[in-house]
Order: sequence, then C-alpha cells, then structure tokens
Amino acid sequence: MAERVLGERVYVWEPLVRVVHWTVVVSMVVLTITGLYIHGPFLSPAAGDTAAALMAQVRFVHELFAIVFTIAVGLRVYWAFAGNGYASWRALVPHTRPQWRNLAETGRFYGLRRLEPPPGMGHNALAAVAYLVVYAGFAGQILTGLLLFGWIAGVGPVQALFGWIVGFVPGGIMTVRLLHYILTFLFLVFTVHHVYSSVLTDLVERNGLLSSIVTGWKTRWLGHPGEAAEDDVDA
Amino acid sequence: MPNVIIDPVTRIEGHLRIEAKVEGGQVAEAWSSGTMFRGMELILRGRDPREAWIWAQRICGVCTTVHALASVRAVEDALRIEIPPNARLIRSLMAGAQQIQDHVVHFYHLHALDWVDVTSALRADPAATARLAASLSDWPKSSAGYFRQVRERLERVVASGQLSLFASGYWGHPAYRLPPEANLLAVAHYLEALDWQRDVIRVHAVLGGKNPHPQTYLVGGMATAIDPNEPEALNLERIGFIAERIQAMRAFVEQVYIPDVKAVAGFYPDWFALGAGHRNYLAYGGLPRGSIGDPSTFDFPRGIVLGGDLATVHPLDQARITESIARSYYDYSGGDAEVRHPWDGETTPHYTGPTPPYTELQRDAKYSWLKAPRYEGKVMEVGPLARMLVAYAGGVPRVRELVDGVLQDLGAQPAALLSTLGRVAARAVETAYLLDLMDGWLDGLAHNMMSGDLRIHDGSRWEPSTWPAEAEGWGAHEAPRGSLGHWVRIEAGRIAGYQAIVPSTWNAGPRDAAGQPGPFEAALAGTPVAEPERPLELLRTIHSFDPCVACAVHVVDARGRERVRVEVA
Amino acid sequence: MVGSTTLDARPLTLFEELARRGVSRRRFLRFCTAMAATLALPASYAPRIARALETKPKPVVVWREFQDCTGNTMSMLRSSHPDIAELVLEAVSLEYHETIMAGAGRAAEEVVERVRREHRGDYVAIVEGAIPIAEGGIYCTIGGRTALDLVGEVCRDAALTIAIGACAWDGGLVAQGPTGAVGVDAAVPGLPALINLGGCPHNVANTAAVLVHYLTFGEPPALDRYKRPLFAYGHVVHDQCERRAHFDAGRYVEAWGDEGHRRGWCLYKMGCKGPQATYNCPTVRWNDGTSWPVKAGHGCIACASPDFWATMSPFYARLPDVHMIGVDIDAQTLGVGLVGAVAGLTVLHGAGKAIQHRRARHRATLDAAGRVVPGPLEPGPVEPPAETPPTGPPAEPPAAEPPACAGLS
Repeated sequence: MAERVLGERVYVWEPLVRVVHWTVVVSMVVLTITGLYIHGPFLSPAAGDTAAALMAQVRFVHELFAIVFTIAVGLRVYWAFAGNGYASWRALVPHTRPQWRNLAETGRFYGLRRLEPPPGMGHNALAAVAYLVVYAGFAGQILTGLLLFGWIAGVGPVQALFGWIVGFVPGGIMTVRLLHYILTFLFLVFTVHHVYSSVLTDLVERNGLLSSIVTGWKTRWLGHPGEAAEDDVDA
Repeated sequence: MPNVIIDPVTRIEGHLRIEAKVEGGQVAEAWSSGTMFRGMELILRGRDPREAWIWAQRICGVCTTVHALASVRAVEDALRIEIPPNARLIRSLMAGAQQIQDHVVHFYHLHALDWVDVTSALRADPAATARLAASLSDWPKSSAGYFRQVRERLERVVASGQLSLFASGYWGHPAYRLPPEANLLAVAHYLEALDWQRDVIRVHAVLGGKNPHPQTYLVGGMATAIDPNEPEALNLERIGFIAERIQAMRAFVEQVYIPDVKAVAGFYPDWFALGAGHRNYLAYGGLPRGSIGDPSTFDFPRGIVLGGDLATVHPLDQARITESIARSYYDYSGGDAEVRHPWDGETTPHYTGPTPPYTELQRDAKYSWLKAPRYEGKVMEVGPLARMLVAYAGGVPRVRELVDGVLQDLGAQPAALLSTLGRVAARAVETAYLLDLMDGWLDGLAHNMMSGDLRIHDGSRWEPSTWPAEAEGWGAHEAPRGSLGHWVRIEAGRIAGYQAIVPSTWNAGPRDAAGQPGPFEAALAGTPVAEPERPLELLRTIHSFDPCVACAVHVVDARGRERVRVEVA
Repeated sequence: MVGSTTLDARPLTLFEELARRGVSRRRFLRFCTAMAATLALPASYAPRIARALETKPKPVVVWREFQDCTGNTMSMLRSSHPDIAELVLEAVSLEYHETIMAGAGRAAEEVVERVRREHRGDYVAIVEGAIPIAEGGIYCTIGGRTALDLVGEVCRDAALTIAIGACAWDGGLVAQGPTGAVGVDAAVPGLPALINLGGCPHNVANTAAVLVHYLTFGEPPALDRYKRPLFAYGHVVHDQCERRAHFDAGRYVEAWGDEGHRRGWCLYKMGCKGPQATYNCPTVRWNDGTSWPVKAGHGCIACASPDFWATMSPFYARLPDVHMIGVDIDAQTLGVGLVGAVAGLTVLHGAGKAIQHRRARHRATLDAAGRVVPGPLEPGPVEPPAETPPTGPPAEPPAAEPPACAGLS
C-alpha cells in the first residue's frame, strides 16, 4: 500500500503553545514537590550543618517557579487571542453546535460507548472544557499563592495589590492556605488523567498526538476520517 | 423587713447576684444567683480531644491553668496515658504557683477591702504603723518613712478626686474595726501584693509561655522541653529563675500574708463564729506524688467531712454526685424533682426568670444559671477549708502542724475553722503547705534533669489512630476554689461529650429539689446586717468562699444532648 | 462617704503624680521611650509622649465585663510597665471594674452613672467579654439589666472604647456557643472611636501603649480594617519568631521532647500557627517580657487573629479540616484520596478501553469500499444504533478546529 497517500501532516501547535506546555509541566513538577515540602518538610539538613538553609532554598525555588509558571500561564491566555485556530479561545470555549456535539461524542468515547474519539486535530471539546477548568484552577492557585506571598512579605506591591483580599475570605489566611494545598491535588488528579488520555488517544487515533506537543505536527489520515484505527486496517 | 440585693457582687470572678431577707438585723434567708451563661461544653463537641484543654482553659481566666490541667487529665484517663514524672512535676509547679498567687491576690485584692477601711488609713500615724509592722514580722519594708510615703500616695489619690478603684467602697461602715495603723499597713501590702503577684507568676511564663492561660499542656505530658545543656530548654538557669520566684513567694507569704491574716483576724474574732453553713466538706484530692490514678499518693487527700465532725474522714465516690435543676434555669426530661449524675446529665437551658430590667428574682421559682450539685443528696462545701479539714481530720502531719499553729496564735479551737474567717485562715495555711511542696517539686525536677531523665511527654498515644473507637475519662484537680472535675467522652477520635463540675457550682449553687439551700445561702443565714443599704457583712462571707461564677455555669451533658429553650416571663 | 465625694481640685497629670511620688524624671522618660518603642514610633517621639503625659489630665476609665473569663483582667494585673498600681492609681482613674473595685451592688452601678454624667464624652470605656444578643440578652445580666443594654450606654457616652480580648472583639470563644454572643462592634455599631485589642487574652503592654498613644496624640494609633492597632497586629508572628532561623534551615521538632524540641527548633510541624498569625507576641512577650508560648515550647494558636477559634483549630495540624457533608476530613487525606481514586479509575478505564478494542477488533469487518467497520460494541444493543452508521463517514464534521482560522497568526 505504499503508493497510497494515507494522510497529511498538519501544523497544529505553534512554538509558544509547546513552550508554554512544557514550561507548565516543569513548573508543576517543581512547584508540587517544593510545595509539598513547604507544607510538610520531609527532609532535614545534615546534623551540625550550621549554614543550612533548606527550607529557605526550597521556598526560593518555589517562588521562582511560581513566577515562571505565572508568566507561562499568562502567555497562554494571551495566545488564546493571538494564536492560531487550534490555540484560540474559540476552540476552547464550546459555543457552536458542532462543539457541543463533539463534547457529547467525546463523552461517549470515555464512557466506553464509542471506540474512538470523534475526529479532530486540535483539542476535542471535552478536553477544551477540562483545560478551561484547569486554567481556572491555575488562576486560583496563582491568586492564593500571591496572597500567601504577600502575607509573608507583609509589604510590597504584591501585598498592596492583593493583601486586602485575605480580609474578605471566610476563614482568612487559613482558608487561603487550605485552597492552595487542595488545588495542588486537583492538578495531580488532572495530570494523571491528562497523561492517560493523551496516551489513550494517541494509541487509538495514531495521529501523532504525543509527538505533536514536541514537534507541533499531527497527522490527518485520509480515506477514513471515520472510526477505524490504523492497525485495524493493517489487520 | 428590708430586702438586701447585691448585684453585681464585685471582687469576684463572674457575675453573681445575692438577695437576702433581713429580719431583726440578721439575714433570715438568702438566695444566690449566677446571672451569666456561655455554653462552654457545647463548644467542645466534635473537636480533637488533644486540644480540649486549650478551649476548656477559657472557662476561667482567674483560675487559669486549672481547667487545662483537669482537661488533659480527663483525656489521658480516657486514653490510658501515664505521663512521665517530669511532666507531673511541671504541672504541679504550675498548679502550686497559681494557687499560691491566687490565694494572696484573693486576700488582698478581692477580700481585704471587706475588713480594711482605706479612708481610715489616711489618719494613721506612720511611726505607729511601723511599730505594728515590726511586731508582726521582720518584713523589711516597714519603716515609718515607707508608710508615710504610702499614706501620701493615698492622700494624693483622694485629693485628686479620682479615687479609681476605691471610689465606691462602703467606707466608714460601722462593721470596719481595724485601727488606722492596721488599715494603712493593709493598704501598703495591698499595693505590694499587686507588684508581687505579677512577679511571682512569671513562673508560669517560664513553664507555660504566658499567664493568664499558659500554653504548654499536652495530652501525654508537657511541651516544656528539659535539657540542662540547651539554652532554649528548661535548663538550670530557668530552674534558678523559678527558685528565686519560689523564694519571693515564701518571703511574702511568711512575712506579710500570713501575719496580715492573723492580724486582721485578731480584730474580728466574732467572724470565727459566723458563716459556717452546712458544715459538710468535700475534696476530690490532688497533687499526686505518683500516678494520678492512685489517691493514696495525693498531697491533698481525698475525702468528706460531715457535720463538722473532724474525727472521721468519709470516703468519696464520684458516682454518688448528682445535680438538681429544681431552682435553676434548666429542664430535666423527668421533671424538676429529678436528680442526675453528671455523666447522665441533661442540660436544657430554659430561662424563666424575670424580663430584664428587673429588680427582684422570682425567689420561689427558678432563679439561677447554676445547677445545684449534691453528694448523696447532701449539700457540700468545697475549697481550701474543705481541703484543709479533710487533711487535718485525716492526720496529714504538716497540715496538722500548720493548722494547730494558727489556732494557737489565735487562741481558738478547731471548730472555729468552720466559719467565714476559718475559710480565710485555711487559705493561708494551705499557701504555707504548698510552699514546702513547691520546693520539693523543683528539687525533683532539677534532680531528674541532672540525672539524665529528660522525658516530658509520652507520645505513644499521640496519634488518633492509636486510640480506641470509644473511650471515657474523668480528670480532677483541687483548684484554688475547690474540687474541679472534667468528664470527657471520645468517639472516633473526636469529643462526643464534655462536662465540667467546678468548685463554685458546689458553693454558689441554688436550692435543690428538696429545698436545701446551697452553701452560700446557708452560710449567709444569721449574718448581722448593720446597714441594709450597705451590706458589707454579706460580702465578707461571700468573699470568704472566693466565688468564681463564670466557671460555675455550664451547659450540655456528657452525652451531648443540648437543647435551648427560652421563655421570658 | 468619701467614695462619692468629688473634690474640686484640678486632676493631676500622670507626670505630676509620678513626680510627687518621687519618681525621677529620668525614669519617667525611660517609660516614655519604652512606650514609643512598643508603639513602633521612633525614639524621637519620646519627648512628645512625655510632654503630653506632663500636661494632660489622667483619663477616667470604666471597665465593664460581660461574657468573659476575666482573663483579660488578669492580664492587666500582670502589667509591669507601668506597674499595675501605677496604672490604676496614677496613670488612669479606673473607677469601675467589677473584679477589683471596692464597691458592690448599687454602689458600684452608681459609679457608672456618675462617670457618664460627669465625664460624658470624655472617659475611656473598656469592654471585656462578649455580649449575648440571643433571646433578648437574658444570658448575661448585671444589676438586673442585660449586657446589651449596659454596653450601649457605657460605650456611646465614652470618648474612646477599647474592646479588650478576643471575646469583646468578635465574640471569641463564646461566639462558638448558643447565646448569640457578639463583640462590641456588632453590639454597638457605629461607635466613632473603637479600638479592638484581640488576643486570648490581650497583652497588657499593647493596651498600655494604646492608652499612652491616645493621651499623647488625642486619637487612636493607626488601625487596620479590624480596628486593631497596626503596631501590635501588623506583623506576622512567624517573621518575628526567634525560631525562624530553624524554620529557614529546615530543622523541625518532630516529636514532643525530642532533640529538636530541646534545642529550640521550629514548631512548624507540630501545628504552630505562627505563619498565619499576626501579633507582636514574640517581641513584647508576656509577664514582663519573660517568655511567650513558642519560647516555652508549644506552638502558637494565633489567638489574636480574627475568629481564631473557628479558623485556627485544629491546633496540632497544619491546615484546617475540610468540612464534607457530615464529616470533617483533613486536607491531606482528602487530596491523596482524590488522586488515588482517580488513578484507580484510570486503570479501570484503561482496562475497559483495552477490552473494548479487543472485542471491536474481532468483530470488525470491511465494507465495500475497503473501510473497516467495527462490530457492535458490548453495550451496543442499548445504545441507539443511529450513531454507528454502517457506511460512509459520519455526519459530524471535524469539530471546531477546521482551518478557518488556521491562517491567523
């Protein structure tokens, strides 16, 4: 079948999207580990280490990556208005009939009611909604992080801009801290699911989903935009 | 038939109202009413039992620390935790320091102004005062120049027209009998005691972080780390600091407080025959030398003295305690005639008193937020007098020696102790008794520290996963004002029920279902009243109990039933 | 009765009082400098404080207690700068205070009436304890009148009201109970000059400083949105803590009485609320600057924070419990449980997907055009058959991503 043209390469993820993706991945890993340490320090410096500054360094790394993370998330939000169609907010916020239908069909895919997800190149509508929720969580995490930072700093622009919010949170700074902690686990939940569904979809669609977040390119199979998977054909 | 109403009774903790019917210049009948209710025990339900003490301690800030102690003991009893000896010694030191400080504060700042006429001190001759002081003790602050300064300070306060705390006393009342010199001496010591109490209680700051409401208790021990070689632990320097404070306590108690008690008592001998009441005395006992579970090691013995009979100490079984709400603002499901053990208790607040503002209680109906605890149906008095009588009757050598010494100095018989001034004297005796124990506890702590025993906490039952699914316990302590008990029930790692019966509930409670008046009410009967408008004599007997009313009002039984119903008449 | 007599002498100033008592000017100035320090003012303010104390008459103070434990009174009695006798006899005229005043009953209540009459708009009202407002206020009466009734009149006629301790500030512990307990601000809304001095109890060093500030400048110190003075409540306990270096180093107490505990390491892992608390406890300390809870070995409970009983408990855990329906669960259990549950579901889902594909592969057939047509899925009979048309591409177009916008960017 070598002479048959089976598919075409499609450029989906622009560099910024990919860079943001991997920046967020690295930041999340670092922030989660350092964050869990700050919550419950699981390592101690060597006995007699008079110059130890373990917690201080961990907190510095946490704050540094928090800034990186915030910038990355901010860029991605900007790109939702400046990027290509796959990155656009239009592809993320379900607002058309086809999107709603795609949402329902993707749901059927995950509900084992359908063998393959509905075809598509960018985010499917369900994933798009999940990302919206996750980005809302990012916003919450960034805000609670800023509140905690401002609280400890006591002064400065962060405290001036955001510090007053704490007074209006029921339960005050303890609630802020609790939210910051709980959100971490929601991201872990998301990560488990995200990795799984990426692998699953890649296996099922065989369109280069996993590599696309590195290269930017996916494959659109010709001839059978329908439901069959490639190895089924070969079989 | 004049009516005497004292509301608020001041120079006590909490809000207390006394009403009395006076006939022929004497109190014929009296009513004692607690007028404030917070609902403390309700607040504890559902919480981590390890932090119950932090909450329970806020039952009272005057008897600070004692509720924390009773609370951790209750939880430790439920979880079968035996604390290390060092934790026991630190707790005893804190309890002892609090008790000594509290007794002195009570005498000078809460009670003395019933016996001491501040305005009369203005007429005192400083030189004569100095001679009087020298005859009582060898306390160094006793020169004529010193007393002149005190008098001048007082004169300036009076001359300024801003009399501050002294603005509203019953000055010039005929029941005041001290000569001007004794009054000036007492005022000088009133001011000295103010300074003394804030210094000696720094023992609590060292061991507990602060006072009031020290913050180093733990279920299983104490959070006061011990290490002779660490600057940030309880080390020899801090032990030395405490030793200095104990010395300061001893100096003031032996050279000022006890001589003053004897001197004042000498001018009011008739008050050794007034204010006895029911003459039944109860003490849970406390200050263990070993396990808290073994009352035979208690320095304050456990027991009951009945009818003033000092020949017999009756055993005490806490299961025989009941509470009546016949005259209290609560309902029982079985009606007002019912009595219940605290474990089995019900607390359904149901206010049926007069609508405020009111001028008189409904004395023939319910009239207090306090319940009426009874032991086998008998009215019991608790407090320093009860403790000293139980110890005296039980033959504790040091207590016998101290009590007999005081009685000899005053030329009185033991029966004189059953009186208003008997309570004052018992408090002084107890303070002296505690001072010796303080030295012993501190020595024990220092000895353990130097021999390498640094344990302060048993952490084997710290994690809730190590607890049984259900547990019950009680913790007791002999607080300054008397026998204190906390009961706790734990289910699935949380407090399912909490109950406290505190000293002033015993003493200040109202009549019971059988109509027996409470200890305050009984003790007031027969009190002479010279001027019904200025009922100084009533205050003497009430203050001799050292009431603490915020403690005394509680809600919610141990099983956690709570209902609130209010009906304003 | 000297008690109710008011002589018409000019009230003496604090400095005159102290001077006539033989207190040297040097000691007086040292007191003023200490007050400036507590107030976080530069030492150069000390002369101004001194001048004010030298020239202004001492204020009359009425201290009322309601649903309290008297802990704040006891804290006041521990005052050392100035010592308590100076404070109540010379610095202010404490004319009403249930726990220590000479008079009782009617004679006591008349004092409040006299102060309200003779010093209207001129005296300082201090309130300790919460005010119960449920059921018409019958949960606390004094002299037959409700706390609500009494607090209104004493605060409205005062020049300045100080709500002292957690209970008077926001109801404190009593607010957790059934009596509708509230703080002064809620019981008497709209007081023109109210200062809240939270803490369980308050630290008397701050209270003395507030009074000195008021005497010096004629107004309360700078307050935060809870009407608390910034000098005392503006900084995080953790930042002022002497064990902070151990926190930064990563050295923590792991068990009560362990080596770290004895060496004064950080109590963070034992539930210390210092990082969430604001107060000047670590710097002014307690009982004449002797100690404070963390120094003594136990964590902070954030007793000067708003609604601290509700928000800071459990005191031995890092975070508050999460209130699920009917049960409280700690945050870590919740988070780990959530992740574990999702991971488990994912594994199950993966297995399900694998089974689905295995079955589909067995049943797949080729249609006329050579396309693979999967056989009916396991739950196939249940689902409407319309979704799996036997032939041709399904109706759904490639969703939202068609390259209509692909040319952008």
